[in-house]
Amino acid sequence: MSLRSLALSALLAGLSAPSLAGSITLQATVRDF
Amino acid sequence: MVGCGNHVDFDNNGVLSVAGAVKSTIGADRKPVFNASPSSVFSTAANFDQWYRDTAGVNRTIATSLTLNETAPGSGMYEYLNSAYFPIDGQGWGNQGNARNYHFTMELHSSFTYRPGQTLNFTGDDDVWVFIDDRLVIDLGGIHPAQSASVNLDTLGLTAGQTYAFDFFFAERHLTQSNLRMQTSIDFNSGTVPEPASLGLVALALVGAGVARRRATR
Repeated sequence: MSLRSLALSALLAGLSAPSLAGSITLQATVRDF
Repeated sequence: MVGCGNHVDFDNNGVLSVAGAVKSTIGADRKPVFNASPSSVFSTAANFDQWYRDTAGVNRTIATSLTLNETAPGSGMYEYLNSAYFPIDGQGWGNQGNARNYHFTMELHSSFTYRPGQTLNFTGDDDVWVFIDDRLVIDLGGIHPAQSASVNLDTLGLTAGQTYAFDFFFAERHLTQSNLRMQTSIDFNSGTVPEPASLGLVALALVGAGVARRRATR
């Protein structure tokens, strides 16, 4: 298998892999009283 | 004066839900504007103005973050769930003799691109106010047990593809529980984090393609 074919396979695998759950992190400010 | 020592509005022994405690439009400085009549849970506008503003001798400010995790891979639904939301135990003024650091406010500001079908569900205590596009869309003011509210963004008259402000305000004011649950399909512009495995495969592919192209041109 050529390097080009390997690269194409990896790209397709990466794009079609069942993705794990993502996350969103929001910056926040807490004030203590 | 009652209260937690630093501020009369915190643990002043009242338990009362108050709708309309802030105005329906966010202030020019992106803070909620006091709109309540004096009650057992709200004193004055001047006191309220200290909740979300640095005030020497009254509050201490601590930077933190809130991470919402996707509920199922690819679902586009993100959730933060914490039935004991005490992010500053032992920090700021300390726990003041209590098991947890109960008296605090939290605010976060972000933006998002509106897509039809987006929703926001919230459950928590005590006060929660959420503004989208500068308009109050969740109004759970007062000292109270956990309460829930939902927003279907399709009802807000937003334009698909446009970017809007999101401003969130929370206060924990009572020596009991602190619940915080936010579930949303809003894709905040702070960015989703792709999972590393598939990202690595794509990176590997790009490197491989580059090497293959370089070899081919020799």
